[in-house]
Amino acid sequence: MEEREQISLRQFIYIIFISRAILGIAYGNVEVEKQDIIVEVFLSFSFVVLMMEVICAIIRELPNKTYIECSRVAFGKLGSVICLIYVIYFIYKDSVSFAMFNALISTAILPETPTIFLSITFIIAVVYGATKGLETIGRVAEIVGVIIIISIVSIFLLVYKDIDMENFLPLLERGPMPMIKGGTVVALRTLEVIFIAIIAPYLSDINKIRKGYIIGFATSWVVFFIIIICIIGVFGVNQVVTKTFPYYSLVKFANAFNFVERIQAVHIGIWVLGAYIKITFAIYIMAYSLAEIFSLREYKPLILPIGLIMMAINELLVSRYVDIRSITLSSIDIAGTIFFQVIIPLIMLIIIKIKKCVLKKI
Amino acid sequence: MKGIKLCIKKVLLFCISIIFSISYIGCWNRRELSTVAIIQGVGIDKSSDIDIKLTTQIIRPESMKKTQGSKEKHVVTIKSTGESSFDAFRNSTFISDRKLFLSHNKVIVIGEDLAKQGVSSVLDFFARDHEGSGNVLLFISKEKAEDIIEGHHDQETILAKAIENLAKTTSVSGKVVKETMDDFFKQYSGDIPYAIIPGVKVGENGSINLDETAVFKSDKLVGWLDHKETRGLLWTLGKVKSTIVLINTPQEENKKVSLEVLSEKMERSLTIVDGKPVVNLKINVKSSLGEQVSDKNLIHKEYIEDMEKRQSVVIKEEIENIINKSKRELNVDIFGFGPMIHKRKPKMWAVLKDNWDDEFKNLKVNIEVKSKIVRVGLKLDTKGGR
Repeated sequence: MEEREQISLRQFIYIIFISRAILGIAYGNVEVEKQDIIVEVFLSFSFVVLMMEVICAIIRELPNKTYIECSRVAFGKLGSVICLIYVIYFIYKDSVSFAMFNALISTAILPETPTIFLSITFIIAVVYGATKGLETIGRVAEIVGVIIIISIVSIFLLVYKDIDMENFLPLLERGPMPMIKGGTVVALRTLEVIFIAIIAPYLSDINKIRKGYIIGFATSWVVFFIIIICIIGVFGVNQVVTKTFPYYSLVKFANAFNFVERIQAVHIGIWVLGAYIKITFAIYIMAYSLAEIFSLREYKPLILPIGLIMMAINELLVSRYVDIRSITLSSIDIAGTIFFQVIIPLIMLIIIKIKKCVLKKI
Repeated sequence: MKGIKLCIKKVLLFCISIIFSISYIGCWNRRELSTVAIIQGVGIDKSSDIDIKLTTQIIRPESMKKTQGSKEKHVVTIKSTGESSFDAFRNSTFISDRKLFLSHNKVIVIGEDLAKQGVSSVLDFFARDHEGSGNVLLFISKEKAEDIIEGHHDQETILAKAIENLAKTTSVSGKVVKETMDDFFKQYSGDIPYAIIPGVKVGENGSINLDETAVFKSDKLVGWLDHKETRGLLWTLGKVKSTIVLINTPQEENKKVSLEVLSEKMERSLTIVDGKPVVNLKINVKSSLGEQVSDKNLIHKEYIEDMEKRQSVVIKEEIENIINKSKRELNVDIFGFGPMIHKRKPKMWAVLKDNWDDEFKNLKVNIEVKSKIVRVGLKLDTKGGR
């Protein structure tokens, strides 16, 4: 590969924040486990921190190496195969997110537009962005991140008067088990833990990677927290579970003094920006990983094919909204995610540690 | 060579921009103002056993133009029937030359016949459709809803707007509830499904005005509350913003004093007595002396304190009345006592919830009303000179 691009810690944080937070805005209700969601948020954050610590330990052992190189160090030739499966898995996961985005847009504002048209225009823009490279994505993320934060805070202020904290009672009515399960699902949706490991050497100051991770995820989870306070506080749990897109309904509900009304279109616009950063970053990571696995000199030619594959999967998925929901909650999906995001990094870390010890002794 | 490359680049850019601009025109959901019929109000009635009848009020396109002093109607009504709300809604395109546009709908009026069968099935469409808004106000009418939608209001040219404003401004009387579709689905999806929706009727002079309040058990109409009872309900919910309470003048019992309520604060708590839940309502009312009929000078500490007590008694009676009515006649928990027990004592609720209807009848409610007359207005005495 050519010489590496560099992004600053702040851009790095913004990319993590946008990629993760935008998902929370879209899903919303899938994560609701009755009132306990509020505890679940903290629980899932601690799970993510655990996942992140494993990755950080790997990076600390082998600094200046990408995740793919690390996996080659750990597993030898098998490492490339594992990474290839990783890429396929990423494509699948991000197609699901992409389908979710499309579903929101086509349900909420453009029901008569064919979904293929939505995905074509989106993918054209995404492919263009991804070919421009990581530095550009980072710079755009800086702008978009601020816009997203402003939009969420302003929605919070608009609905603040309607929030009823009584809606969060009674806490822990159904015992801890469903909550732990829900927390795991939310935490496992955090593909960015691995994504960042792949581009870790790009960070201008590699020692700050842990700080970047924590700030990035913490801000995303603060956003989740605000969203959940808003949707449950305003609608109440019983009603939130009846809504397809609770946060969108909340934005529709938000009004002030009878003149700030119908702001949902603005919200959708902002939210498309965030989705754009997320998918662009994901496609970039996939193309980059593929190029590295096959030792190609350039990753750019791979971007368009990956985009087209995602579009095709999206067309299959988005044809039925119920499918997207059942996919994101199926136990196969959860098991696969645990395998890729917890078990493989853990094995990798152990092997690398053992190898180091053995080498030292020799 | 360089020149050719630049030229190719420019041509490519030009082509791309043309393609993009063409494709963006193809925004399928584009609506021009001249192709939509803006709905202001919807009335839903039962027309036969299967069919429902939809009466929609839309703004007349010509009335958007500035024509001063024209006495033409600014709205037209369209009627259509169908087996479901959406069916009837789409069937109205047989009559309307423009596509109906729901986003600016202000009110939905439902006829009593339909309300007795259940309203959630007809309201689902308005909540599910992407053009629908949760802020639509709901009303029930004892007459046919189409009569309401076709009626008129003396002050406003657009009737739906008049009904909307009626519900918003009448909150100063403290005797009318306001219910949006979001509120309805919140109450309907609660632990104990119920709803309270204000009524509208055609008044004596043909103008539309507000009526009693309809009470729903689950989503079926079970009874009506008159204005006093509605206020009793609002006291228990802490939603009285302003109202007039009439009491008898101390020592001159046949004459009335009007007290204007300035604010109300309500606190609820739950205590367990002998393993049974007891609800405690604490209500604090601040009011101002608004009017007195007698000539007596009431600006004395003992009189004011007496009037405060009388006001508390009046409010307490109103609350007791409505609680007894809902226990005996309506048999529905419209106060949210059940959900309150669920929130505070989840384990106890698990036992109670299956036969809450019976438990509610035996539920003990302690009411404590404290009132304070904080102002007396610009006048001290009616007559003076004594």
